[in-house]
Amino acid sequence: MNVLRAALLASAAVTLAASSAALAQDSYVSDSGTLTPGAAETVYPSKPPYSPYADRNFPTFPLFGDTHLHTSFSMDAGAFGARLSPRDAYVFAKGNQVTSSTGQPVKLSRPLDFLVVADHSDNMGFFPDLLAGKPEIMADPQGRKWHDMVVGGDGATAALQIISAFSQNTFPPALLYTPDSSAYRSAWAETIKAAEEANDPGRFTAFIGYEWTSNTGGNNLHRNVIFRDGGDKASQVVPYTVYAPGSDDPRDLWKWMAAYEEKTGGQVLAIAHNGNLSNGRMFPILDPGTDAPMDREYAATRAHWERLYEATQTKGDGETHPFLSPNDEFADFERWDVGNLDLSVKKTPEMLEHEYARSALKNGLKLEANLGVNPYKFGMVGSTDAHTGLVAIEEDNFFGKTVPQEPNPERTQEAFVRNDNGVVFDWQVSGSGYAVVWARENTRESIFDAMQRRETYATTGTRMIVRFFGGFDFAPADATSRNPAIIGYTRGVPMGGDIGPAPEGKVPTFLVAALRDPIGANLDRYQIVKGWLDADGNVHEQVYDVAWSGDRTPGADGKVPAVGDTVDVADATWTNTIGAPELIAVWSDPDFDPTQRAFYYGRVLEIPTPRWPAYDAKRFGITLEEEVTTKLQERAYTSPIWYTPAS
Amino acid sequence: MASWFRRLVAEPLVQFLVIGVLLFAGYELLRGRELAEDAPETIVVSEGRLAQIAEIFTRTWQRPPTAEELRGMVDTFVREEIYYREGRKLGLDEDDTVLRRRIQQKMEFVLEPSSEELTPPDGALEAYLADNRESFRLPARVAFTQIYFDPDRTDAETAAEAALAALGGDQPPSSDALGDPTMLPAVMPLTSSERIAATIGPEFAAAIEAAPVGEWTGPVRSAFGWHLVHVDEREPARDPPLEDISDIVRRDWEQQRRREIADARFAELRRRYTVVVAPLPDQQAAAAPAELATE
Repeated sequence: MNVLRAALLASAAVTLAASSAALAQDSYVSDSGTLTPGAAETVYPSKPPYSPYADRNFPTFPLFGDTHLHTSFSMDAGAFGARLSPRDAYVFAKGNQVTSSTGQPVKLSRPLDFLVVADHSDNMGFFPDLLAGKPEIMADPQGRKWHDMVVGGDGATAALQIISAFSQNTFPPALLYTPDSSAYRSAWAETIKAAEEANDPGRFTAFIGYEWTSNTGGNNLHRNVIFRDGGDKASQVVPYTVYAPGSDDPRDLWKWMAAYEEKTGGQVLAIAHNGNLSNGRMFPILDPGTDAPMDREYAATRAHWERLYEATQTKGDGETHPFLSPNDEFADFERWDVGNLDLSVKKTPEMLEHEYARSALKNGLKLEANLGVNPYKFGMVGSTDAHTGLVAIEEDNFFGKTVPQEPNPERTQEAFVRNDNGVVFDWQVSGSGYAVVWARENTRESIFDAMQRRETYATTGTRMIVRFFGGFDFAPADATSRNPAIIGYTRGVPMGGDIGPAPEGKVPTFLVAALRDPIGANLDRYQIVKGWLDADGNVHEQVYDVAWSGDRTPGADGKVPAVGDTVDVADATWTNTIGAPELIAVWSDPDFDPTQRAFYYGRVLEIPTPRWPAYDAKRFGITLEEEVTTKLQERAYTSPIWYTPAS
Repeated sequence: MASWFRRLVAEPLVQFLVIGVLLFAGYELLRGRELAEDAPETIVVSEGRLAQIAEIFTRTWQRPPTAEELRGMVDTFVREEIYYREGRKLGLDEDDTVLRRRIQQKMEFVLEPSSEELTPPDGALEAYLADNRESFRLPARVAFTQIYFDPDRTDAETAAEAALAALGGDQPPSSDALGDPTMLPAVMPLTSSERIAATIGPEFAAAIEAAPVGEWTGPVRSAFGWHLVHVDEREPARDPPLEDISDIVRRDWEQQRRREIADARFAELRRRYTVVVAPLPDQQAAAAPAELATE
């Protein structure tokens, strides 16, 4: 009996301590998700909206989604009170109204096109799975009795008897946990099941995924792992954890990814986020751990597995920092630079270079020149990292990063984290962002492949449509064409692609276009951010204004003046009397040197709009503190196009 | 008593033997108790547990662990178990919000209905569909072609009116040649009003709701400018039959049934408890703690 008790306690201990997930079971309760028919009918045009005589083997509409959502399955979300499961998360993402963990009704303005529920792999754990009908249960008389009660409609009584038996140590030994038994089912199996049920090819894509949460010393090195595959492959493995047999080193995660692909023939990718909370560890130039020069293998492996970076989310924006980009008047945006994730260590200026996307893209050019491969050749996405089960980050529909941040009058006053090293307030949490993918169709395979080729962009929470093409043959007349996308794909490459070396006498030209969010704000300007490596091995950056609304002209400093501001903070409104609904232009690099490696990416800014605390102030009738930011210019960051000179 | 026994008991050797036995027994007992106090607790890492640990490793790394790796994981497990036990002795599992919420989550999992309980009896789906027609109704859809007029390039509304007139004339131009370039879709197939609103905006979607089929109308306003619209086809809202949407109806039904069962099971648990709540601050001090009626 003592052995039995010990075994029971041991298994409970394993569960409670949130050890890594165990076996997937091959048969389990078939709970299912919901799909209301309003969302089920085909809602996006099946015909591409371009001229019928055009070839249509390129993407014609962008898909909006989130690559990073947590539900009650994540221990920290559950600890904060999250009650929504992956199934609920998909129901919400598809545009249905749900009740939030704090009991409030909530609905998206428009459905999303795809979602990755990425709960922390360390918390997957077990839950008792009573009566999955396995043979050993039926063989045991008590087990059979319970099973028959369930089938006969008296499952409740059976469940309660089972619980009692467990607690009084009278649970039949034959039904106890063993690796092959069905006594436990894992949260990983549940995650897969929810994704499989919610996945609706052509209409909504539910990816299987998880977050690997390396956080040693409070320094954020988290990655989200996304599967191209379905449950048949994903259930053959368990997610990589930080607890044993896992580790906190990204190189081990990459080994796990390779082992998965080798075993199953499937495909996975990893997306890192929150370099701003890594205290200088996200984008190293030296080999992490030894501080020797980075070796080619690290660079090649990283480049292989991490083709995207999550550049904006609720824990601050990661594009660039005013210290790194002092000449960029838009660089100070949703800035979180006090310290690492738990504020156990303060930020110092030397760390910043290794934390932000633009700087990493630049250093990637430098490393490529030395090593022959660029470890930081990544495209951009946004996502939420919400821990509420809700992808609800629109400024006027913001349900917070954690459940205590769901709408309430106090949420603009609390601290997110505070200690002797500093403070980050809840009002600093961003209403951000979305991952937007130019995929040919709304399926796992198509979206995943688009992510692999980096044909993606990030937005900070609105649904701008952004095109970015690069090549050597775009002409100004292309900006007035009726079919810019056709021109873009046939005479250049889309965002995420490569160009070069430049033909004799030619410079890189870019065909850029942006369309505002139909229920959002007008656009201010379309910029191109260029980074390059000079002959001395130094990196540089420059931001160019390429297209803008109205008849503004660049000032003496070469910059286009601010677009203006129609925000009424007290009323939490703005008007689209400034800005433009659509911007399109062709731009050629005026400072091009064909011998220098470079990258170019698009950044599109909207006119100023109210930030979520302004909506809180209005709706709850509260007064905000002076320092609370109440407006912002939402933006999009495209994946870069890289220029490589002749060798 | 038999005389032989009396003689035995009176025999000093026997008495000494008995005292000796008693002494030894007593000593063993005491020593045993001491030993029991110092005796280590047992943690058993059973075969099942070992197999589980090895299985986790195998499913992570796609190969079984080496003996050394397995030993390492066993050590980790044992360390965890010890901390767990000692922690429980210290009562660290009490009043811990995280643990309590985790246990609530596990209980809710435990009480989740099985697939048999979620099998709809005959007629249940038909009844559910009948009771919830509005949720399953397919909205009206419109297919259209549109021409866009950019207010930044021209007096868009006037240009649209002129184009409309031209389209209604004797030799109407091709719609491709009219209007201004835009990234908005020129053609949309049968699409719900909600989705049109998500693409071109709510004012546009509302404006074309009443537009006649088969002719150009406008100018229609949107957030982007002005449009002429040619409604190609209209499909009214309809209630699809069960066989077309049985999967969706079933999922919805299961969702509701799952909630009902979960609520019912919690109610049963609740019945086992009497809850006594101290008077809430806004109640007068005179009132005694109320006993909440069991639901």
